[in-house]
Amino acid sequence: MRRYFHGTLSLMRLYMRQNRIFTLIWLLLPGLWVAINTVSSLVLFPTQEALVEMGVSLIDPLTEAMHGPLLDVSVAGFVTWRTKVFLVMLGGIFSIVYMIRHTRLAEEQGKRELLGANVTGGLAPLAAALVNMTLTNAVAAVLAIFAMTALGLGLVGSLAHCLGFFAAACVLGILAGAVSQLFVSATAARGMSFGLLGALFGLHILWNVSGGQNLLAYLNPLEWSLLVRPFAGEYFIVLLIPLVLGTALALLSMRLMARRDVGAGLVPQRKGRAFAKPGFRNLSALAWRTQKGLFLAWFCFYSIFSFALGCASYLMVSAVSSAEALAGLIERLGGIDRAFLSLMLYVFGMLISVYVMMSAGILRREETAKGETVLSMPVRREQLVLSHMVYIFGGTAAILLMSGFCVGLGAVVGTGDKSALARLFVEMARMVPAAWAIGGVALLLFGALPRWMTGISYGLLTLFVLMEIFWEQQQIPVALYALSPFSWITPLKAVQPTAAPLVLCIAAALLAGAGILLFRRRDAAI
Amino acid sequence: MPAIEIRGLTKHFGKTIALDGVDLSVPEGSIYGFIGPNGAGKSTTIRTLLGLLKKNAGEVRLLGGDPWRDNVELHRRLAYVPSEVQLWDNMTGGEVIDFLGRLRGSYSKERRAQFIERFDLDPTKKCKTYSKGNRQKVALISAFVSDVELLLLDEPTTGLDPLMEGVFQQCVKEARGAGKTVFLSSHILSQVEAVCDEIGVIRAGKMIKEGSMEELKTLIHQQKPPTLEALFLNYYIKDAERGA
Repeated sequence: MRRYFHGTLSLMRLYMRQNRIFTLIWLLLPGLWVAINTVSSLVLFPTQEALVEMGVSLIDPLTEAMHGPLLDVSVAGFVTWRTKVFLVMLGGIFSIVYMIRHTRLAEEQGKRELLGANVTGGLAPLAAALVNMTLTNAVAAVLAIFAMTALGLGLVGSLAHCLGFFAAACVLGILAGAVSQLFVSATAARGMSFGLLGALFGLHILWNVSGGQNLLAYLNPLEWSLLVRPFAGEYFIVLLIPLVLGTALALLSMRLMARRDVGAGLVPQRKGRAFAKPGFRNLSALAWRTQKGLFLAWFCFYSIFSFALGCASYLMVSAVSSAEALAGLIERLGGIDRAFLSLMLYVFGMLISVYVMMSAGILRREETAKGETVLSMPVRREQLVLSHMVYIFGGTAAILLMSGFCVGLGAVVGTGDKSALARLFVEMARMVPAAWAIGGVALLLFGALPRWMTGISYGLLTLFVLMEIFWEQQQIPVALYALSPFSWITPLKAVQPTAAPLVLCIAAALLAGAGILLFRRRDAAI
Repeated sequence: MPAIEIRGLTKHFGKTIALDGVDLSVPEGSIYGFIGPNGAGKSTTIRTLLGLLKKNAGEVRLLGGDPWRDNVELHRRLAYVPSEVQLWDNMTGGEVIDFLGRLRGSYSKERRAQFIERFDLDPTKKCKTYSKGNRQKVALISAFVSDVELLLLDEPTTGLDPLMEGVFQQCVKEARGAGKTVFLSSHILSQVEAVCDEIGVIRAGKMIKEGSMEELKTLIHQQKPPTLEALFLNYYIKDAERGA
């Protein structure tokens, strides 16, 4: 034991001292989110009658696809129902990022060798990351329980709700810890982990749409906070599943780690070519080498996922909308199946904008790590940016268009409606300018605030999504919401100005141009 | 005309003053040793010469041009080896050498084979698996293979074994023989003593000594023990006292 785990406590303290702001957000956001939702629900539904009347009208197949069935018609039931998916995704994403940072990324950067040379056991870094991740999720859950009980929600239900997202976030983190043992690069491990999370999310929606008669759902972390039934006759026994699954995955990751060398993956490195291919001679070729992995992964994942979604859309046709409140919206979007697909495409558009940020992040990494080498060559700085803009803008467009095409194809296969292909393709094509505007923001940050680029760009993306949610709940004015590129393409608005794509394209061009100009004037390779 | 001419070069990073009026002059065809303790401003000077960093004040001439404005034209005529070489994980050393050679535009297959053999590099390995010394070799080979007028080398041999250090010194001397100018930043004084014609010493962003190796040799003999190291420790101590 000592051989493996010695120094775990010291490492835990070391990790805790790092990334304080990241940890603070991770700790506070779940509780804050629940509190905001509770307060706004208390304001929206002052009496039980109001709740029954309005609350029930809000529940329709679209919302159910996202959140599953509402278990209990009460403020508590409503809050837990509305917040659980977001909490699991939030905790899951933070846990995944944290685990990969302290396992594979640290190893890639050589930090583990530095630690390994001191008196630490071989498994100590992984064990310390696992314990810290679990502890952080636990504190976040406790804070959320405090927030809920302080606002007058029952203790047992709050406990069930928070245990649900705690268990899911931990298992997702442990999964990332296991995945990071398999791949040599942190980027690949992160891509795989988020890919799995995306797939689980897709299964979650399919499960909700198909009515929830599937035992496999018990294995999906996104379902646990529903299956534990907070405020609806709590069913704590469900939590044994994450306990067993989490322990098994943690043991597996330790086994994998104990078996391999520092820095290695499970697949040994092969020898490569001694000479470069004749075509490998300019920055475009280099950008392809550095961007292709991310691009192809996203391209293939969304092609397959979109096709599956399109095929499953017929399930929506059979679902009947009982929601009077949303009848107008559904009618405007062309019926329940069309409404469902429109919203899903919109969510895909939002998810794919994460790719925009990731590929812009590659440009920044190329600048910091290899900028000295590349920019001491006879190349202009803007050539470097342009070679990556092919992926930040062109790659994003390709992924979006392919996703639209595959959803359409799936819908044709699933429903036999031949007009679906063109309609869905065009609908997805409308998302492209919004993704470009986000790319413009990323490039502006690259030029203006390179050191803060990653943090601010992901922060802004989160803000845009939150603005959407707040606007839906009518808590922010339209003028403020207009600052989010998504507001120009959201299918939830009655009409969009015809110039919306043009506005977004001009914004993207101006932002990107300003970013390149600033990059030309600033210190490079810093 | 000197290959590099710097007058009153100043560079700030926020409130930190990295370079505080640096003056130096590198004669064409010489090997110039640029010495100083860690954090003295050696890399900042070189990055300014490459046009990566924008100066705050002063005059910088490199091969007759302005490194910030004429960077593309000047980069065709120079090769640079950074002190911390970072390469592309999924590329082999051979691919990197080929790629950088093609990007620079001056490159020959014969010289490539010759230098890979001299530095004893396996070009089929992925950069991810190279040790620091091997990554350094890839950058050095890429610089020596190129047909350029100026080599800018920033502590280029950290991580190399003594045998390779010898090969490196031989290559630098050959470069001078071929009429190239070499600007060698280093804190390995034996290396500097072995190859350099001219020497500049920087400490805390200021030049504290500049002169030819011939001049220094007479000073070295007055030291106890008579080494370059003793001389420079003396300089550092004197300068630190003056600062205090």
